[in-house]
Amino acid sequence: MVFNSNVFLFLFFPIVFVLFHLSTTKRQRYILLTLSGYVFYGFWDWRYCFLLAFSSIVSFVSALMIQRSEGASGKRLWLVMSICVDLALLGFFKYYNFAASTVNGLAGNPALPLFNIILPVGISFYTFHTISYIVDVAQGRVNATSDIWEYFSYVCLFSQLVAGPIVRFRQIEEDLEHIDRGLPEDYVARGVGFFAVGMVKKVIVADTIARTVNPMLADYGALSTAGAWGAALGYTYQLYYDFSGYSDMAVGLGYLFGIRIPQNFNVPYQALGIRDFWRRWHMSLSSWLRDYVYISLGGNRKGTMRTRFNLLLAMFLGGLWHGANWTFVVWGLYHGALLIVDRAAEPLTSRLPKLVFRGFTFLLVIVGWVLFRSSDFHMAAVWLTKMVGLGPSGATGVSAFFLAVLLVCVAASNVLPASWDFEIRPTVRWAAACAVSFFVAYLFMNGRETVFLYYQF
Amino acid sequence: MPSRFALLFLTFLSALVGCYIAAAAIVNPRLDFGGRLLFPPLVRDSRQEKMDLFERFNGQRPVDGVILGSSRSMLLAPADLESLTGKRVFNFSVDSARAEDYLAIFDWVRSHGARLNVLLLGLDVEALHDNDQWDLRLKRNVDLMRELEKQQQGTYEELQLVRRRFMSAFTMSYVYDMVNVVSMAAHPPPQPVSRANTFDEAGLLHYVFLDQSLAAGTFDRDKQIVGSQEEYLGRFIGMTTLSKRRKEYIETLLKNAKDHGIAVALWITPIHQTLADYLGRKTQYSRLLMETRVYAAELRRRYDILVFDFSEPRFFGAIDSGWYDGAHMDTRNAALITKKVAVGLLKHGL
Repeated sequence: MVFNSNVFLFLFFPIVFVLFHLSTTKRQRYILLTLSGYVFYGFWDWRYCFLLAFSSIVSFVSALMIQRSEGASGKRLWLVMSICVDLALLGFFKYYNFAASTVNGLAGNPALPLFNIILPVGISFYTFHTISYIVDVAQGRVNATSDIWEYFSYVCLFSQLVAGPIVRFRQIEEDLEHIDRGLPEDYVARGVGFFAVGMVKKVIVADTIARTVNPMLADYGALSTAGAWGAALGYTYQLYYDFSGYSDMAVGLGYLFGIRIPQNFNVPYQALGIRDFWRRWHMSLSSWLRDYVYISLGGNRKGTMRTRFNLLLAMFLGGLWHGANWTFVVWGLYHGALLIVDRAAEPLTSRLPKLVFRGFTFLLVIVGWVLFRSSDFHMAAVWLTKMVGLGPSGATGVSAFFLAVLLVCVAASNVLPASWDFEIRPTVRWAAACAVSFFVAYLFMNGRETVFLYYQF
Repeated sequence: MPSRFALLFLTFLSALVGCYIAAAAIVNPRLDFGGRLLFPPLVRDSRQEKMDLFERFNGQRPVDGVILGSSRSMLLAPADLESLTGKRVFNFSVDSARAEDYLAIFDWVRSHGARLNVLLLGLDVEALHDNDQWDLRLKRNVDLMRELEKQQQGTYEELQLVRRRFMSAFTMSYVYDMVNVVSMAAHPPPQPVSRANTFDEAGLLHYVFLDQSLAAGTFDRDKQIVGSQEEYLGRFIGMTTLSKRRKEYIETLLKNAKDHGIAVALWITPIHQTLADYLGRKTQYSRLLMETRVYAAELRRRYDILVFDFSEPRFFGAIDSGWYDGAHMDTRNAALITKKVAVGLLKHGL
């Protein structure tokens, strides 16, 4: 089920919303959020609800045991066991075939069997939820909850279950604790407002771009130089408006259930430098990698070389997290390398005019998205080659309409504020604006639902 | 206590939906909301055009029969049939007709007072495609859809049809259609747009452009035949068997015809051998054709109808050069079929 579908908009959400506000106690609301999360998830494939439940129960019990253990070794045992279970699930379902085919390729014979494994949707997100919870409990940053329904509500909250943001328990613990309170009027306004803005981003902008970019990239060999740039720029904006639209909708839904989900995007294409970019793009993932990988490895406290290694490793894992494909790995390493250069070149880049630096950063990000979008290195090589005007030039260029769309995106992403900077208030004007935005976005759906790009990760 | 903001939002949204429905009902670009009001319909296709022609033709002198089928039956000449059988016939073949089109048109014709005593049905193999997807032009035709809805009264499908039609209005493509209709009404084209095909008053098709290129000696038949391969590949590529639901439409049609004493002649329509060979290699066409033959024989037994197998050109002595493309015969081959059907009907005691 996706947010931009009739079944969600006219059946699932209204029912859950009404039941939520008819229920009065914490327990009732936790159970409702849990059940709705499982229904939402089960719409894709109900069998994988058991996997979700298993992962949730393991981390719930482990966290309690960590908290109750008196010795450090006991805490560590439960921590390691729980993380291993999560990573084993993720590793098997997401990476087994990738690893096996790589090993087989290197060995030159099919030494390891390949299985017909379906990647459970959202597994990358909910395993990161559960890992962050038990690590935070082990490090004393959060108290383990003894209410299993509260914990289940956190893990399978439908608004962020499938594609994030990667919310940490401590970020919404207070809201979960007070979930039985009445919904403040400004929460309703923000909830509706964020959802409407997200719909506009996804359905009007991202899907419109996708209708041009996808056919172009399906036949990437036929791209001209202008077409290669158009496709790269188009995908750059498609991905941003798709994922940030999803995140806005998730935030909006969170507000409507009294839960403040943290910001995930902050106008990333206005970034000055790659470090700044990662402070603005998929913020919940980058901060997760920073806190649970980079800092755990020592961060920048162990010398320059070790800092660089930590950066590369964190970004390598960040790339791999996106999918079992070498293009993601290289994309992660590319960004790791850029982060190292960004640090080293700071004295130089700080003297650059801001507009030049922003443009240069954007260019580096676009090149990264070419790697990210390519299904294999051949595609990436052909696409990048065409962008620099080398190799055979094809016939597919950029139509006037698509050029206009791209120009609007360039202007919007550089001028408009982030969704979070809109001060959505419970006023008549905002209600009217939200209704118009929602209605127009619904018309743009054209009766079809399109899946969010990040559902595949 | 309901949220004031939520109520405001829902009030504005309801007002928008209400205004939009009112605009859609007034402009009514696809005739989804009953008859025409202020604006001409945007979509002119053979279904609507033939409905208009039929009303005129039948109004001049009542018809005795109709020809149903797809574009592959559009060249069967009513005048030839009348001269051979004495029956006044209207050619109601429409583009990409499927079984549901046959049934809808048959019911619509009868609901418009036509007292038929003969029905000629050109059955394409893909008219029984198991994808069960109705042609958009049928779905946009409110009168024909009503005839189908009558078949499904009280069923879940009827509700689904209404829901789909209603929801299809809430799309940008519908908004574009509304804008186009209003703009065409505001700025009508100065002269009629030239058309590739026209129908005469009896529904007989004339290929204007193709006949012009034939007369000019620029028509390349082989190219046309090869050119139609991709289109027909698309039609057959997903077809695995004959649709149960579409067979039911055919059988409902034949049962109604039998109950009202209407003689029926059904033939399996031909395609050029080059196209048949191509589809045989790329799809399950050969097996599907066999299934259609078996089904047609079953219909003959069950409903006492005349059945002809013209699926291969050699079965009716087709002229090899008598094709516009891989699926559409020219008037010479169509005349051969017309004659065989007419003779068959006369022998059958029409």
